[in-house]
Amino acid sequence: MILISLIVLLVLLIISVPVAATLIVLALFLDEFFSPFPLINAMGDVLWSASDSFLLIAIPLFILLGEILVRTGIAKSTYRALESWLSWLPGGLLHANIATATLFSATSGSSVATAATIGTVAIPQGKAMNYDPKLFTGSIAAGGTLGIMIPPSINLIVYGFLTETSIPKLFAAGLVPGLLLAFLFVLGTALICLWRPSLGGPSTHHSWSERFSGLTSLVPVLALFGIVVGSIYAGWATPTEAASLGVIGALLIALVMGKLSKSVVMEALEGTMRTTGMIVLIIIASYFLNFVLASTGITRELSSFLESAGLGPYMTLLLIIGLYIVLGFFIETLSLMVITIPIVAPIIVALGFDPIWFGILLILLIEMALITPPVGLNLYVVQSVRKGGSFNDVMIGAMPYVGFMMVMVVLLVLFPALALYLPGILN
Amino acid sequence: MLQQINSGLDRLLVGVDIGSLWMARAAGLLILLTVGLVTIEVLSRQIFGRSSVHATELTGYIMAISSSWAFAYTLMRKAHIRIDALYLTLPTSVRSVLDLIAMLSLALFCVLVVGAAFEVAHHSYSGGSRANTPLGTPIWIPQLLWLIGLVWFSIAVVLLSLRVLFGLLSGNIEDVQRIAGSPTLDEQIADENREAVQ
Repeated sequence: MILISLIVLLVLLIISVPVAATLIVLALFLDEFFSPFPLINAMGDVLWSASDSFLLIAIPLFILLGEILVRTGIAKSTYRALESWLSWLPGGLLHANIATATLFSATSGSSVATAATIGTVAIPQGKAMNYDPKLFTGSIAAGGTLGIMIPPSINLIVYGFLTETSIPKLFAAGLVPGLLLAFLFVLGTALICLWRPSLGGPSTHHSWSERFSGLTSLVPVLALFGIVVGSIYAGWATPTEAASLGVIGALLIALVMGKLSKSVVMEALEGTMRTTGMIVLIIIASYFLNFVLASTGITRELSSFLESAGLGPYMTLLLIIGLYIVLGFFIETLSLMVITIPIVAPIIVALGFDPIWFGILLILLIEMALITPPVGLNLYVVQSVRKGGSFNDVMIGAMPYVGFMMVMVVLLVLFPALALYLPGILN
Repeated sequence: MLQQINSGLDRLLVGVDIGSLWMARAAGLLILLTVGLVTIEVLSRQIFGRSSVHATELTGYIMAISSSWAFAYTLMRKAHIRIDALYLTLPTSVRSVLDLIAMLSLALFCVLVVGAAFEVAHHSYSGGSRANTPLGTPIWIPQLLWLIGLVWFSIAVVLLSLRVLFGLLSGNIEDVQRIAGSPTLDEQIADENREAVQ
């Protein structure tokens, strides 16, 4: 029966039935065949309690923050400042790509938006300085994925909402792995460029006065990060409150940069609602599926089945990681999350793993899915920003970064404290 | 005959398109209102040490209402997620049939969800339920506003489904692609980048 439901799920997804409808149909199917009493009667209450959420509203708020920030044009000055500090490293501008992405990730909750923003600023520079397009575009696509790991992160909110895990703790847990991953990207890029200098570009040097004067342009982004994430870590604000303060901050930046107008705000709001409608529809559908899975006891059955298979926790974890890597080739990332979390998260917890730690591991696997073809949205975003050239360049250029992410997966499994140390302090 | 039905539906859909945009804008303004409410709440807690506007309760309602008001807009912008890895490799005629299936499944989704939401709101109204909070909001009010968004979404889904069905019947596959086809990768990305370029 579980096999049949799995087949139903896959068939509906493959024939491109909207994900939200797929999840509801699956939930009703399971309800019909597994539940002793009709759970559909509770559907209205479940959907209302999922929608009426002080927590979930952090999602449109963080999207709005990003939509406004993109329109302020501060990405350009940020990039220039970071370039002056980092382009002496072997690989030159590649490091500015990664560093700018890292910094923007600290204010943006979305990977695709981060990659698009950095790509728009960086690619003209790379072309002007005749960089080899492969690593250059690859570093942007990969750097952009940091957006969902370094807090704030929309995907972590979705995870926290569906698994009832503390969002502040998840946000604390993502910081060290996110920065470590950025460091791995920089280190790996430098090593590759030492080995094959032609893959990078000229290292350039800047005077110290130039470097220090550039620092002022980092102030707005860092201040915004301080407001948003600092207020959560300090315990002054919930994620929703921090996001509201962040929106005010972004509006102030837009005002100072002279970009604040009615049309900018309207466009930002429309963009926000388009994305919000998309995310919330599948979240509430997934929430109902979650409810059905829990009420029918299917998740319990699945975990006891896995236990009886005698694989042991780490073998099962390895299987699950493999599953995400394979599914990540084909399934859009947010869908991948909402489809799998209701099933996988309870199993992981039953195996004795920490749900916060798994949230971070999952985000890492999702980041990988964003830059693995054929369905890797960040690759396509970067390709379309560069207007021309072969898509293969981006694909090949991102490969090394997939490798660095694998290293990070291993590190995270071997040293769970990388994720769990900071949330532990928060207690 | 089919042509007339199609052009009639097209006219209706233009109206739905405009209405959806305005509902999304209203929803966006509600989100801005939230920003204001929550900021006042945080400040008053930090400065006066007490909460002043019951932001937690109100923003919960706003979340439910604004997201349901945005569903139709997201639909009209083709932004509800479909897994199109296989879809994009198929010829347009097959895609159009899949589009019809997609729309019909969304219609089924709407029937179930609107029915369930209606019962919840009706139950709250007839039972006179109030939120268990200082505001004591009669809970049917936010639920009714939530329901309105869902009903509007359903209207959009039903009209689009009919348009796809009649488009298929009259053999106008390009039309079907234009109104209900999963957006090609180029279109999706153009959307993302338009924002970044600005």
